[in-house]
Amino acid sequence: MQADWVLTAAPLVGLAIDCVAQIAIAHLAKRASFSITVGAACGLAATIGLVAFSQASGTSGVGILILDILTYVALAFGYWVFLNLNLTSVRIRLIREMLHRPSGISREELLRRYSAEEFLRRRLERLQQGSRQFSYTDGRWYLRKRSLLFAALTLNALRALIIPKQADP
Amino acid sequence: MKKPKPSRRMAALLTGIVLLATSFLAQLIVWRIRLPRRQTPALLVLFAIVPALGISADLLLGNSIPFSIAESLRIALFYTSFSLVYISIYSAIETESASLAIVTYVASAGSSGREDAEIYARFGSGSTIGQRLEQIERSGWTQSSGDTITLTPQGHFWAELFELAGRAFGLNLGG
Repeated sequence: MQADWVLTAAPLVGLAIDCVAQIAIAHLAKRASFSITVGAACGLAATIGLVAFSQASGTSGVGILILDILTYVALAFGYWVFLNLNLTSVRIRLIREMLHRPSGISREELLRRYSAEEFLRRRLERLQQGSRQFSYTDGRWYLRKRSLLFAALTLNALRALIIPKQADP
Repeated sequence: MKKPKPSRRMAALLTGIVLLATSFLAQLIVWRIRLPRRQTPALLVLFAIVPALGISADLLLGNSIPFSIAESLRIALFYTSFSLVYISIYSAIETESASLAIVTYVASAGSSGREDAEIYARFGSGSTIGQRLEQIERSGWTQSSGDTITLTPQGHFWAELFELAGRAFGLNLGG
């Protein structure tokens, strides 16, 4: 009975450990991406550990192991989406900037600072230095990794399946 | 302790998968009948209604729920977490992300890559910030007075919250 509840709580405990480890590493190492990866790995290890503990008491099975790990992966992905919002969302950046400027910011200043070219420069920088998807040599951009391309193709396929053609903008 | 039968061990996982597949199928049907104007809230409602209808129908047919409370919670957690993941990535399905569009564009050039000028000509125009400012104002987070934009009390609350989260989680400003 107790082991059954441990199994139910395992993904939530994994998520809690993911959060604590991510926060600790982000503050100690000052590297956001590294902290997210290590935090997720710690949470996964905790989830597997708890499932293995229940396995020892005979409650667990392959189905439950898969269910708990998948649930943890989904929760960790949700946490990553939340962190990523803080790292990449322009809207959040804008309101956080306004918080430090109580008298307000002029629209003209924002349009000057965040031109479409500036947006593109930041995106290319993230794709090159952050996620290392691109390499840049002699003024040309090359695809270095295929993970985001795979994501783009998957999303395109889902878009074609879900959103009716006539409604596509 | 009594060990659950092997078929029962898989039952919780299968139930979760069937619930997710049913909700997804329901979305395909509803979206083909009429595409909702606000797709994300519609998706939230749909993914909440489908399992509730399924359980109600099952109970009305005289069947009892074949899971313990702990197992039911496990299935609910699985279903809710995957539904929220799907709903959170749905905005990228609804509208193509700019970064992914750039990746696809560079990949389409193959080993010859793309020049700076090609990428800037294709993606470096338009007023992205203008759209973002309009969205924030529509959400009621900012107000304009002439050329100056300031936070509303609601915007101030969210900004404080994100600022606190940014500091707590050790994250720099985005964008």
